[in-house]
Amino acid sequence: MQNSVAVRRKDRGWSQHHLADLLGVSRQTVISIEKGRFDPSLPLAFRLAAAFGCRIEDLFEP
Amino acid sequence: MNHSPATARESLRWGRSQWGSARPRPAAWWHAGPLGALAAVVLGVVFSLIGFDADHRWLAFGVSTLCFTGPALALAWAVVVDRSTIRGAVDRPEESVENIWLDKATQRALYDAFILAGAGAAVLSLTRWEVPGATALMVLAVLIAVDVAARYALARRAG
Repeated sequence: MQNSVAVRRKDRGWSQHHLADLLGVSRQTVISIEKGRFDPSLPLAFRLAAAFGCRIEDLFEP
Repeated sequence: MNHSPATARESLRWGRSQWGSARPRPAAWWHAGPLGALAAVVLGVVFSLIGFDADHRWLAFGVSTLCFTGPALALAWAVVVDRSTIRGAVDRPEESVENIWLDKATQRALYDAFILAGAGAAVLSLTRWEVPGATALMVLAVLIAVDVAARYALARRAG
């Protein structure tokens, strides 16, 4: 699944480590999500959207 | 978001115990060490009593207690530790990609174990090679562990 996580993270000047800490997951998880290799669970997708202050459908596109 | 990571002062490399009322609570090993050692001694006693005659009982007790010490300490630590106080531990490991890799690795290793066990049984019955059951199970357990590790590494490489 394509997503704009990396772009939004860089816009905010956050490191992958910082975003991982915010979400409570490993840094490798953030890397895999950004590369589109790992589709997060619904709760994690909600937390991602909350971290960026947007809707889930703004972050991910099928 | 609802997570409360331990403060830098509270977190330790091996975490703190979830037992006790003192703040900060003691390091996990203060409780896990004696508990694990006690469990190893108990297992050593049981093993030496049921598996060996009186002549070799002390030797069996020493060797089996030594063998049980590592796993018993690890198990005691897993029971005792408050994982939110382990330095660097993530709050939600179950939602991390590593958990997916481990799930994939164990699922595929299960299928491999069926094939291994079936093929091994066929080879043993055709060659009429007598192998003690304990040895066969130990070999199977080691092969499954190696298989899980290899498949985890492959899943990790694939991302």
